[in-house]
Amino acid sequence: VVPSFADWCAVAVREENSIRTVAVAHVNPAKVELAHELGRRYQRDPDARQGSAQVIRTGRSELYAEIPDPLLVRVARDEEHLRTLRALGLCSSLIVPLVGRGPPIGALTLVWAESNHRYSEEDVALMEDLGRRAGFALENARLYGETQSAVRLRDEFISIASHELKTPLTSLRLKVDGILRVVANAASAPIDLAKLTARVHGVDRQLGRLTELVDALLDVSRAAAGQLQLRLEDVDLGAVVQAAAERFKDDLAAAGCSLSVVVAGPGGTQGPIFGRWDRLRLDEVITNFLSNAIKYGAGKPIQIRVFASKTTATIEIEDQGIGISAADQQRLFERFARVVSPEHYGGLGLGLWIVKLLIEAMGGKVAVRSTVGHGSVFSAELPRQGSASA
Amino acid sequence: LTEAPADCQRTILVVDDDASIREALADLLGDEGYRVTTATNGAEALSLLRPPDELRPCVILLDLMMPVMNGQEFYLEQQRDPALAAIPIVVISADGNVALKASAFGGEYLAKPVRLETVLGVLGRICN
Repeated sequence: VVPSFADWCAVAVREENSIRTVAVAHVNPAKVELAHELGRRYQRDPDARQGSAQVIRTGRSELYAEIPDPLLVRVARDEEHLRTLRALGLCSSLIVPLVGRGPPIGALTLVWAESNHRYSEEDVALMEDLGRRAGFALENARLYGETQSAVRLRDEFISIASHELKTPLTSLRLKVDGILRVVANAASAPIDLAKLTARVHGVDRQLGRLTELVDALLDVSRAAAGQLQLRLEDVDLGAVVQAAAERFKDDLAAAGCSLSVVVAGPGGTQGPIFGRWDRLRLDEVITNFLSNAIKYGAGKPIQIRVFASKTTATIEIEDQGIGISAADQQRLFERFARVVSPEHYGGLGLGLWIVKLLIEAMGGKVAVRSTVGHGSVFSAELPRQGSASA
Repeated sequence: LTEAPADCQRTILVVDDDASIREALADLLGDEGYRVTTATNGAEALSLLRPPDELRPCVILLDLMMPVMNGQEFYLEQQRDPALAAIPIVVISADGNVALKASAFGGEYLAKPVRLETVLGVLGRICN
């Protein structure tokens, strides 16, 4: 485009709440640097009523056959900006939208300056065609990038999932080999029944672990397809929490964590906290929260608080573990959002994403507050509407 | 393959963050007359090898992906310590690329899930 159709050419694209210049061209590299410098110093106003922002919004080209001084005065942010713009000797400009398959994704700004040419109506159609070609190219590049990162994410997930599956498989393999050895030696030595029994129990436990892992993987694909089925019934939240806490007794002891559970109904009253929820899914949520608290807060106390108003019920799990930085808290509930390296903490990196899906499916919301080095509080707030007993 | 220290007395150090794997190896290798000591990560293993314990195993069976200190980090620390560098390492990991990993550790690499006979075979060669 430069220098046949313009002295200056700039490509701006729309991002979530802003417009970003992604490329600037001029025969003179020093001028390109100047343009970048101006871009850094004077942030583009995404709501501007003229220029590339307006072209991106409306999809209609803007032709400035002449750039008179009053236009520069109107565009300039301050005296220095105005001086710089005047010094560039801009004399004519054409801004066309970059259009792909949908609404405009950006704008192409062409400027004649030192070569003293002018844009006319005839140039508009030609450049709009260029804008369409560039728009498609840009959109394809973006889609390609998104596909690439989705594939990367999937590959990473498969490698983490296979590692997680191989762990119970390894102890299963070893225990079965151990049983085969006992059986093979049966001719020469009496079978040690106690040893055999212990190994079979070990096999049983590893099969349980494998089943849970496979279920979790299936949950992920169901959730991804939006096919989570809920079985709503009247559930006492306090009772579900107590049962989960009881089940974790051995894990808590092994990790050196003490656990306290505090349950309080509306106004601090005792008694059950009923709501219309899916009991198994609630258990899954609490299991997830609790195993995270043990994993990241080993050796420190953990507290679960369950409290309710007339309309909502809330579970909070507080650990005193490694904590989560503000930036990581933002993406904690995303799919595959593992904020610590898999090298150091195992797991699928899907737990909290599933928790969020489950709680939202029951009409609630999840949250986290945390300080690095001091611990985290995870919470789930659920509506109590629909329950006969609420 | 490196040889085990002469006075190691069939002692094996198992380093793995998974309790069921530690327990299975301790049980099964114990059956074959090995004395098994376990650690849940690299840092725990180092503290067993250094004073006051100064454990001197014939072999260290080492997992790679572990919390606190992983297998690679442990291996580097071990190689830096002249008192420990000679102890043979056998990596047992679910990490896929076997050939690459074996060359990085200059020793045996066993892929999970591993068979008991394979572990016994390797230990037999190093310890006897």
